[in-house]
Amino acid sequence: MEEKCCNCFGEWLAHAQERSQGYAWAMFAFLAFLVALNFLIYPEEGHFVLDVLPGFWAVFGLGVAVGMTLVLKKIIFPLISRSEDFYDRGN
Amino acid sequence: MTEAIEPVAQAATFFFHPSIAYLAVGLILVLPWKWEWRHWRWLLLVPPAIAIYSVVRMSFGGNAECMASLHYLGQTLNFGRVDKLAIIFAHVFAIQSLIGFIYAFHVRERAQHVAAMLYVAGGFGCVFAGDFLTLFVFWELMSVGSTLLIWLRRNPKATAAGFRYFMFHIFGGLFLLAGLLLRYKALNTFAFTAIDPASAQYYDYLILLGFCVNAAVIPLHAWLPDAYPEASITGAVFMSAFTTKTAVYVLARGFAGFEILAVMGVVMALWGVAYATIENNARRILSYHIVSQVGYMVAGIGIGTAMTVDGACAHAYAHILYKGLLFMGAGCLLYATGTAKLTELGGLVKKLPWVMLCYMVAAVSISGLPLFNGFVSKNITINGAAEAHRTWLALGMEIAAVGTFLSVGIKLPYFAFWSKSSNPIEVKPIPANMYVAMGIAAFLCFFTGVYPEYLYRLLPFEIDYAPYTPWKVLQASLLLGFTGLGFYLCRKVIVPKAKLNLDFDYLYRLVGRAFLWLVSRPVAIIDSVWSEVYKTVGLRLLLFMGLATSVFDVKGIDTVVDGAAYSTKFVGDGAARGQTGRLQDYLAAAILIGLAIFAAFWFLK
Repeated sequence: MEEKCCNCFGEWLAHAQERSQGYAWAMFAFLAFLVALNFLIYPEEGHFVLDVLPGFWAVFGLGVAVGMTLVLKKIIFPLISRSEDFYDRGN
Repeated sequence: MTEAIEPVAQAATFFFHPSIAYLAVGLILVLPWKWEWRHWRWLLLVPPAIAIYSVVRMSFGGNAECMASLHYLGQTLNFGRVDKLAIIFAHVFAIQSLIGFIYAFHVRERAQHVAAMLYVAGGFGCVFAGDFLTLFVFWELMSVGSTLLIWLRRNPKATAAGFRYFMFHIFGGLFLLAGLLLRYKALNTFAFTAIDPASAQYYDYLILLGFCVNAAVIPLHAWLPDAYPEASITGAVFMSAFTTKTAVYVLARGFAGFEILAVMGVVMALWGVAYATIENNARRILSYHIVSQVGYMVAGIGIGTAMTVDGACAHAYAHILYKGLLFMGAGCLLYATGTAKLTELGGLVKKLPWVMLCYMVAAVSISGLPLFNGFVSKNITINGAAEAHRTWLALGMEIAAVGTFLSVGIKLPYFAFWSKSSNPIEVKPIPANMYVAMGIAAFLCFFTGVYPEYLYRLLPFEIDYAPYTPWKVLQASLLLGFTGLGFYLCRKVIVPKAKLNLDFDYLYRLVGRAFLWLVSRPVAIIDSVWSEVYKTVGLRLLLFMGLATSVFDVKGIDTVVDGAAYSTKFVGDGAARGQTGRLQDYLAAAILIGLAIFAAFWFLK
């Protein structure tokens, strides 16, 4: 019974994975909706000066996520990564 | 700031130390009896049940400085300081220990449960300890219990990691011990109370250093991502909850308002997410996120206002629930597939959909999505920092929030469950008890997110923070939504690679090797110099001495002894020759001797 139920949910998710492009477009639309909403709902005074501007947190989230990924994966990671047995070889 | 940390004294009405229940069951489990596993395992749920009952009853009472004490070696050990700060930690410890033991319910190896019992007992002991001596005893008990939880994974990597973990915690414990003894010498008290940052002395900083080791404050943090990924599957769930959060508790109790903690907390928050973004092992990613999330708590304590200390406590409460759930999810992956490396996982959503769902509840909780507990607790701390005009610290925490969702909220589940259409890896069925534990944790993450009042009642200070305003919900949605877009754009760049990332543990190892070198090389050099000195000088001296002895033997001893022998022989020979055996010879000799004596006498006279 439980096994069958598990499979139902799993099958549905796997099926959803095949239609991921559709979900991506839904996500983009939702994000645009959030930014539009930001023009209506905003704080009277912000903590960081600029955060009263509509779309500030959208730019902040996107900018930090992309910036962090690029800096860490392209600059930091090559500098500090070693082979997985790096510490074991000494022994 | 700090004076506000001292709780208002009211009469507490009930106290039963939860550690007693854990230690008692731990003792029963080590006794040599032959019960069937299906019988004795129910014992595992008894201590958490007692602890929950005890703490809930305590939470309805007032505060008390000492509800249980023991006189030992001329000191009074205070086992039962009960106030709101202690209760909120004890509350979540009790709940998490129940979840942890349900998750570990299928484990037949008694030793693992005994280790967990010792460990949890240590955690409760620290929370209710009213003096530094009692704290130290339970602090070390935690170290022992958690080391066993690592070793009981029973593979060479775990053994080595457990040894490094134990070394580091003994090192931290020694700082605590040195600090508390020096403090006693100066103040003549072991009482564990709030320390004023303005008048803190060197011994207070030694204690702080000892606490910072357990709180995984940079650069003393690297033991955590080194050891936790090597712990047993169920052991890591316990460890994620107790060690660092006990440290957060003692920091909140003793060191609120210390500026160094405010800064280092934000450094921790950023450091943890940075490493989590490039890590490959799921349990190591989660370990780095402990460093990061504990950073929020440490920063809140360092800022030291009532709101930020409340935020730290609320975040600790929320964190224990969602981090335990994250480790349970990653533990399920490891249990089912035998690996926690993202490079080997992926495409598992069809086979482990419920694990994915439970994991995602924890992932959005840690990321601070509205309706989940992290949204409430994290924002209390960030808003508290901003209201205390610590803008840069608050900004650092917002950046860390983006990194959290990026790495643990999207990257980890994407590469573990999705990313591929299917995965040929064999998937072992997961025991039902693991699902039950995850279900309870997921419910609590959601429940405390939707009804924060339940959490607010436990906080040490009054709070009037309203998380669900339209702007706060929109702000969090924008932040997380566009972080998701950032991931979508960078999904080809952020692909995990099977590599090891150097952290401060590289430096620890260098220091360890330098220490070994210092110990072994000078001794080796002294030894070799001594051998050389002995060979060139000592041996020759000995040979000379031997020669001299031999000469002395020949010329001195032999001469004297031989001379005496020759003289005796000569006298003897003469005497023998004189013994003729004839009476007339003896008479003549006697007369001659008599005459000689007489002549001599007469002459000398």
